[in-house]
Amino acid sequence: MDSQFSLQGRNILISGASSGIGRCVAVFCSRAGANVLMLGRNEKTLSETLEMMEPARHALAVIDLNDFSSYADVIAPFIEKNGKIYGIVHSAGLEFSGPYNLTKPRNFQDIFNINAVAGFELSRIVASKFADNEAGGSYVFISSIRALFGVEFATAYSASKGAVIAASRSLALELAKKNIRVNTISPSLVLTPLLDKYFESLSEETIRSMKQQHPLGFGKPEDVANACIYLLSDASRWMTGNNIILDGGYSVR
Amino acid sequence: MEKKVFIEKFREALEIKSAAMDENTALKSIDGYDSMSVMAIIALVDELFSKRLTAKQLAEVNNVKSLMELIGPENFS
Repeated sequence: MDSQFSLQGRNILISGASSGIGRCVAVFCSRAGANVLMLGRNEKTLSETLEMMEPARHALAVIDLNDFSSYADVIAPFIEKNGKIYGIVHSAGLEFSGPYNLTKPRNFQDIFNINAVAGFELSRIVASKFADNEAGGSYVFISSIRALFGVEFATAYSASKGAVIAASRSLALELAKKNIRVNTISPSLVLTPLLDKYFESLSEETIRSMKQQHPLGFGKPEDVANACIYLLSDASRWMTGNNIILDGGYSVR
Repeated sequence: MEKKVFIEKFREALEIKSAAMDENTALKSIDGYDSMSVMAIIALVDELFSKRLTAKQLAEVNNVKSLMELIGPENFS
């Protein structure tokens, strides 16, 4: 791999590494030479991710990301073993589809907690306690095309992903003085277990129509993972507060 | 849940304005019933019964009565 894209020896924290995009990011980070701390809800699926990775000083931690007060204790053992954290990829996500008249405050709160607040709290703890002040860092939040383009029944989801982009721009300014960059990625539909669950609520005709809206078809986790490697690496050293749209051409019309 | 309460919540979720509706009402006869209605029913059932139906399952449902059977008769009185 080109040295500009290397993550050799860097410590990267990835939330939602049990499956989908987060899992793929973990595997690609290991191939780029990183030591990865994976956070997820399920030890079995996190272990499966670990088995797919190139060996290094990786670790996994089972965590309920709603339990914000547990974050520091969960991260600390990895720091003791490997040193400070350079990068974060917040990939953990909840999906909620429902008409607005069934979208209640609890739905907003649940989805905001995981999609937005968890990522910001991980960043706050790492940047204030566990960051390497000399090396700087790079934090990546997975947003969504739904933050930028409306679709029926996605009010809460869109709001949470829009919050990720908006907050990242301000956070990028605050963390620039620590040489920590903050960027977001907005993928359209990516073939993951989360998307499979969403598709179960749609007719085959609707799914066909959605596919036709993507000139390059639906995305794969690898498409997003490659962008994460770019944002975590020195290849993107002059980039902060930005949002990368990955959508197979969905938004070009 | 009482059947009539479920039917009322069903009407609210799908924003059905017409007066006449009971468990024998055919879903496809509901004015404006479309793929969005299917997603609304899935969200409603998930909200009320923590049960995740699929669009494929709902394609087999003819009326409110058969929807309640799919959800599980034990949930209704």
